[in-house]
Amino acid sequence: MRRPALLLGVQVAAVTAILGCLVAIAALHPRRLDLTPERRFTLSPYTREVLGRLTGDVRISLFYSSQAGALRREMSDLLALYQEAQPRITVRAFDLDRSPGMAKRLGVGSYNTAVVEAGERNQAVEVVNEEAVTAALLAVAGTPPVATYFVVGHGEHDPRDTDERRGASEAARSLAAEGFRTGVLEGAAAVPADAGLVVVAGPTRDLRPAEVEALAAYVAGGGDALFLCDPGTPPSVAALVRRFGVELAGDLVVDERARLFGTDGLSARVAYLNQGLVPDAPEVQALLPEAQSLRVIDAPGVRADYLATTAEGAWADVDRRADGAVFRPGHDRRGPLPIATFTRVRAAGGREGRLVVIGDADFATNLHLGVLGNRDLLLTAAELVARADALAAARPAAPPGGTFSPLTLTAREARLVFWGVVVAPSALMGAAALAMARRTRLA
Amino acid sequence: MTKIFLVCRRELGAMCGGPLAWVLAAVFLLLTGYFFYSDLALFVLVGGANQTRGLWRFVFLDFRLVALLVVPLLTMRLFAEERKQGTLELLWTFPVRDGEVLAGKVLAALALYLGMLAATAIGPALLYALHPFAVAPVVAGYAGLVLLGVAFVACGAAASTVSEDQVVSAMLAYGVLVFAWFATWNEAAIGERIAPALLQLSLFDHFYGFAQGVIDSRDVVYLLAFAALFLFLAHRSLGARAWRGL
Repeated sequence: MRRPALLLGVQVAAVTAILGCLVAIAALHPRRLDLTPERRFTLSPYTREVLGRLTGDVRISLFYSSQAGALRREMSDLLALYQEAQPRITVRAFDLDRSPGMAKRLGVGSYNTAVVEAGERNQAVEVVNEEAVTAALLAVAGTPPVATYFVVGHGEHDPRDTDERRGASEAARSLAAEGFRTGVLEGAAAVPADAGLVVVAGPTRDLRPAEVEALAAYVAGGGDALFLCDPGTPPSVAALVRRFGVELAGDLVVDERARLFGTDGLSARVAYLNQGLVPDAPEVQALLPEAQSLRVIDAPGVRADYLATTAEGAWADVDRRADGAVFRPGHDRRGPLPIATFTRVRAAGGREGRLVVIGDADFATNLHLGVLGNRDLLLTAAELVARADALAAARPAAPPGGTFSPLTLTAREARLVFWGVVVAPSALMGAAALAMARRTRLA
Repeated sequence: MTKIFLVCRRELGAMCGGPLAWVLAAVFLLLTGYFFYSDLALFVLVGGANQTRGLWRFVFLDFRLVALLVVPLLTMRLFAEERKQGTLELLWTFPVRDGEVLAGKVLAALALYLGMLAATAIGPALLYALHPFAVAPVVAGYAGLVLLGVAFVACGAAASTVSEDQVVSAMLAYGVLVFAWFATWNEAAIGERIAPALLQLSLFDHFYGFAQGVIDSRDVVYLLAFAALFLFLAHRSLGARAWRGL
């Protein structure tokens, strides 16, 4: 009796050990098939580009809560992707409750926080997702931050404003995540000396002549600026960009195929980006809620190019009529229509001013920035204009925000789902069970 | 192989010939259907923009709980019932090996589970007909539920070989599965050295990726190894009669 029991014990131990080894080997060499539509478990091309540019060693320390195993795994898996993609990155994980010394050294006081360290610089990431970790990498190991000023005071979208429809706080947050240190310029009469980028996002009132001159001098002197101009942009702003070879057409782009579901807007789809300027253009197209077309014109000392155009199916309503207007041959303009331009301005001392004009500003508001490729368009434009080595690849998908659901069910559809999924199958099985019980009783 | 299918067919006949399998199927479909409907309603109202995270993740995490509830009840009779009625001894008089009996019975329980699981696809199919969506994350979720079912059935079969009382068998399976599920829910209560090893054994952690639309080789290997271990234990438990003198 004792010998077979001993043999059984040895067999069980051996099989358990073999299976344990298999699990351990699999843990050491993980392979992942990411079936999510947004490839959530695959690093975005943008992050890969950032990682490819790292020149020094980076250490990421994750402080997790032992009470949140699933979240810890999610964060560890994400950081492991960084480690796999860039051998210069090392990742360590600490239970915050059990590693108070390490947490204190790195200034960590809350669970599920990561600290990215490169040399003497470090930055904490309090929400560990791809966007935040990549931003921290850029901050500690990337290029120096660009001082970015949003001009306000003329009805522009304000980067401090969190209002869903008018505010541009999300745009500021996205720019900050990419190393643009954002601030506000109340009036543009004097552009700060440290300005690396000036953003004029949808002014609705005229700029004063002194402000126009200050901005013109800033660009002509080698400064970089981004103008977002809705249809109906004030004449002073139109005249300013005209000096740099860009004419605002003052029309309204109609792109029926790009109309936002459930809205009466006339959205314009950015179908093509100039490959010469943006070689690694993101695949997802931007959608400008209400755009005007632009024209490149001759101007002394500047070289302007089209940056983005609509699809062929779009057309420009030159009189900006109400929704429902139809194309008038010989009067309205056919697509493809330029809706963004990039201008280089020769400045003194061999410097170069750069200017991007986009024929819409609403796309950068909190309401629309998360739609399709709008965020990519804003960030690509900012990179293009403010940095020589623009990072133009597709960004990681923004974390889901708000309560907006892309799925709507009518009351009839909801009833259909309830009866078809909850009631009918279980009732059928219940009837079968009753029949079987009756048959068993009779037998 | 023929013997395995014969045992499987006999077992399926025995299961479906009584009300138990149908009652379990009715409960399984009622619960999964209700979870699907309520998760869908929640997603439509406040679920956010991401269908995989806002809808499918919750649907599959709920489905796995229903599987945990139903599968041990499905497997509890596999050997316990036969042992109680004395038909297991009769079965052993036939020219069929323990492994073939085990494989046939496990396949029968698995076939029933897969049948029930397939019936839950009515929900996603109906939703797809109304509003088409990306199917791949749903495929990942169902792949996870299939592997989880294999692990549950193996564990339930092993538990069923231990006792002739079906309730004891079911409770044993529940004990093992629920422990494997919740073992790491309070890491602070586990020793620092044991925690990393236990983490590798948590059923919850190994299903989470599937529910989020990701098939990870670590999860696949773990669930298959879990099933293999319990099938081995079941096989050894059946074989123990020889040295017990039965």
